[in-house]
Amino acid sequence: MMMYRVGFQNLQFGYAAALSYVLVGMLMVLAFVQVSYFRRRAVHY
Amino acid sequence: MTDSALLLRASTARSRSMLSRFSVKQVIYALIALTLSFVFLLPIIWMTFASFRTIPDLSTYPPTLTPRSWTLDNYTQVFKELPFLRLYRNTFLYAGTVTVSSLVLDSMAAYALARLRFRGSSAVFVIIIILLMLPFQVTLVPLYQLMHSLGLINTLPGLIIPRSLMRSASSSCGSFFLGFPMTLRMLPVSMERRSGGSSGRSSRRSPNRRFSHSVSSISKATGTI
Repeated sequence: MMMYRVGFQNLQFGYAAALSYVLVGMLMVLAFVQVSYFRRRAVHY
Repeated sequence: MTDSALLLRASTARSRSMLSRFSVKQVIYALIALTLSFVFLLPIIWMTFASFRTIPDLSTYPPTLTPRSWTLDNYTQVFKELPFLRLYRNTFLYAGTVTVSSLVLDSMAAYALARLRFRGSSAVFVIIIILLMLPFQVTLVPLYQLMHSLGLINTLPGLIIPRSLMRSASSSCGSFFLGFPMTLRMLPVSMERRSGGSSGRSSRRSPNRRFSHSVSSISKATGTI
């Protein structure tokens, strides 16, 4: 929502793009941590 | 013949042999796929470069794909203006509290509804199922009014309490409890170890272990929602 407002209402495309990349980066880090943690604890049948 | 001429001849021969491996049709398909992928990737490439541009640079005519002058101002602005630590703390607090409360309350409610016989148990179960069928948009306005009257607007409890009180996992947990025969009750861990084998680890078929799987799937679903 904030990205949309910044990009298409305030017309700050650069800031909106940076915002989206920061969010993607943080989500990737969290996903990597979660996947590596659960892979270690996974039970194989 | 010089070394460079020999190298050139070898590389052209290698590329010719590589091309001869593919048919004309495959090459045309690959070219079409490459063109289409470039067309679809263009907005993302533009966005990547836009994040390193200034506002005047973005509005210049004729537009260019790459920035005229590179800047990291947009990224520094993101970290200056947004309190990421607080946002993530709120997210973890909300998701954690909702997940834990759902696990405790849903499993207890499901066990009571599935296993204990009391007057009106099936009616309560049907009411829960009917409430689950209601879309969230239907309860949105009354819920807002309720939270407003309680003074919980723009607060974390205002988010956590309504979500914690939805018995969304009761039905799935209830069907899990119903799937177990009455004779197989939840065994204490010490008994389970005795019956599970010499390793001391709980048996894969044991009710406790199965219940832990059910609980983990519910916690994942609740955390995702």
